[in-house]
Amino acid sequence: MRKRRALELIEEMRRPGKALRHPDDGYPIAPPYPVGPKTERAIRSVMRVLLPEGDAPRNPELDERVYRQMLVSLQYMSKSTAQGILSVFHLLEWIPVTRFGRPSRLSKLSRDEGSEIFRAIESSPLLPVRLLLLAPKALIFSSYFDQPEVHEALGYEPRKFTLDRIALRQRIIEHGDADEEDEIHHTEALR
Amino acid sequence: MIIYKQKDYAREREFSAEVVVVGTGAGGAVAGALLAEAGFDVIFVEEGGYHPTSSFSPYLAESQPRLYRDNGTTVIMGNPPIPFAEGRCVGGSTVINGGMAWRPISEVLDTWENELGYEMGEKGLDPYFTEVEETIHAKKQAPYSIGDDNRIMKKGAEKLGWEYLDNVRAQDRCVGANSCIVGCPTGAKQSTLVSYIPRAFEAGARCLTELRVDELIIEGGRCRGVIGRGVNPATRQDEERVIVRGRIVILAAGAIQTPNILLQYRSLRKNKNLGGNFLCHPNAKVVSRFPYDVKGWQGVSQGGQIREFRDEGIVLAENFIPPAVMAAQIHGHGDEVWETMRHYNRLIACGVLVEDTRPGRVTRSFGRPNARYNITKIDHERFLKGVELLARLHFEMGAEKVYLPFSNLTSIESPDQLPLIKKTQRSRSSLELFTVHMMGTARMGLSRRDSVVNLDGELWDLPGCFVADASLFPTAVGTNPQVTIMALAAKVAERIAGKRAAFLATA
Ligand SMILES: Cc1cc2nc3c(=O)[nH]c(=O)nc-3n(C[C@H](O)[C@H](O)[C@H](O)COP(=O)(O)OP(=O)(O)OC[C@H]3O[C@@H](n4cnc5c(N)ncnc54)[C@H](O)[C@@H]3O)c2cc1C
Ligand code: SF4
Repeated sequence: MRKRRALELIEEMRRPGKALRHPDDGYPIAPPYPVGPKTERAIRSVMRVLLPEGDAPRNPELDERVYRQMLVSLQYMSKSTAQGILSVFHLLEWIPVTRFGRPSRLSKLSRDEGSEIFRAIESSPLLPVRLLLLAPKALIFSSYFDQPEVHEALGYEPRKFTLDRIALRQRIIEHGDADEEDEIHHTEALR
Repeated sequence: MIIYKQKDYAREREFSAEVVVVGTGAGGAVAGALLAEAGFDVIFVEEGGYHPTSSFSPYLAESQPRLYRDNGTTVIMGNPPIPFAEGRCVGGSTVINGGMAWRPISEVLDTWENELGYEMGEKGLDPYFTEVEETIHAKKQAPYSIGDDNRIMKKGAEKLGWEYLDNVRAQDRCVGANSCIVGCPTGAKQSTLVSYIPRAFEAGARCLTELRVDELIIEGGRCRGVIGRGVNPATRQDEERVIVRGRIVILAAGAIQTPNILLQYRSLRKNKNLGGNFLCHPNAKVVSRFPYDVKGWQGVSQGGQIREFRDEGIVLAENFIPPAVMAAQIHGHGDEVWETMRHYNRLIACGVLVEDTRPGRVTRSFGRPNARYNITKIDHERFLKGVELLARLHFEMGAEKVYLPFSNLTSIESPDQLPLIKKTQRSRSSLELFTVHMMGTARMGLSRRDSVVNLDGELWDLPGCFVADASLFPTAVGTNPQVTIMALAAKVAERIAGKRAAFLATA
């Protein structure tokens, strides 16, 4: 009985799936990290400066998804790291007043003015100053650049490619080796 | 039941087995599987969750929280600080690793043999390497798994007359889906989730998942089990206190978490080697833009390595990453980052891996590990050289722009600008690094004066407690470490199995 259960489990461990964005493996993903209105304002004002505009995909619903995803990510960090990162958002919100002689907080500045301050931070000769943007940038970009609209704009279609490759491996397992057409080539010069 | 989850601890909070293995990554899975097959009653305790192959996808948003410790936000402090990644799931870091499966270079094994004896040399360890390589199918890639970014690297190396080695990888019919770092969705990569853990289950082992080990049970001077907390995956809160008793405890929580568990005991802290000898093969990333589509996300990440400069402690490798990781590593913000990322299909990412010259240390404060490591002047020079070599290779292959890992020189657009690297890079703090190879913090040795565990893997200062993970390394291995970790874990398991009667008599 136990042996049979073990063999079923092993089969399940190895079986490929459908490469779903929200896999159904019975593992509940945590709700967003709870934050107050001041923290929310600080995060959103940093997002406004860090995220691209122009022809980059942006709309309120997408921004909402990015914001939510960031808060979910915070749940999986150690408490001290999550709290540390949230303090950095507050610091960035107030940094125009404290360090750069601006009369107002980041959220009150225009995006360009905020960007100028972030450029100064990025090119500071002082490592601790440069590090201020490291975590917020990683958090915001890892969420934004994982969204379907952004993938589409980049010409990145990982799911379709993954499903093709799962099918290819299955074919190889069942019928032996792959064909030449299964090779991956995009540039003739590299053949 | 074979796999327990946190919700199961509401019913059952005490377990016992002959062998308790903490961690299911490269080391733990191998040790646990071999001992289960040798007839021991084995129970794994794993902090992360169980995620089968069918749950893997190329999307980061849900993969990282499921599979990475602290969602990938862990950092080694020092100059410069080095972000690092490790797995937190059944299969540990092998689920998210690149699959490279190399033995250490001969010079490393010669040093081990000279210092520790025949059994730690090339011949002495050969049977363990062979066992591991067979199980994880360590072999070269088939042509259908190779992408254009690998071809650029290989052709560039050929043009410059540099030695390029096709990688040996832990894979069975890898089809180049390039999702290795978020779990192989095809089942090809032979992480311990699909190799050793199934072997362990078939031999009767059980696995307690979502359970973080916080303490050891020490009775009569021997290690008799572990105590942990169930971690609720939905709330991330600590819940039930769970006791797992065993006659033997094997710690395989990785080179940072294993010393963290041990360092809370004054009797063990007395051995200053514990947490010392912290090595990490730091890594710098170089991204280049080509005038044509490369689609680096199609085809295996790291089809090969440039070993030409290995004698100087430098290895160069192609290493593609999803957009969500790439963007965070591109200098700047806002529209400037978009301007680079919009050409994502024309970018390739490579790494300069440098062999450590001076170890750091892992300590424990407020219950959490604190890893410290500073790169030396020699390391710094190696990075500058490695980055310059990679940039040269990419320009040789027609790159339009090369993005550099320096805060004060973020990109160059022609080979004429290569001398700028030496000219501008005077301080270590402007270098941006990353690592995934932590090792050495409970090193194996011949006496407690210069090591933490003996050649059986047992702590000098705590009988019944063994280590079987990357912490065991006496020195850095100069290449990707998983095969060596697995081989040493197999050796530890064999030693334990050889003394079965003696261990079981210590009830
Ligand atoms: C992104 C990435 C790419 C890599 N690429 C390669 C490669 O191509 N080739 C190669 O050789 N190596 C590679 N490595 C490194 C290699 O995977 C690791 O060195 C190796 O897996 C470490 O083995 P380990 O047993 O020491 O720890 P791990 O494999 O990390 O396993 C440790 C396990 O212990 C669990 N754990 C930790 N603390 C506790 C606790 N308190 N209680 C219970 N459980 C706990 C963790 O959740 C984890 O599952 C890579 C690593 C990463 C992260
Ligand atoms: S390249 Fe794809 S198929 Fe190959 S091991 Fe990695 S994820 Fe699996």
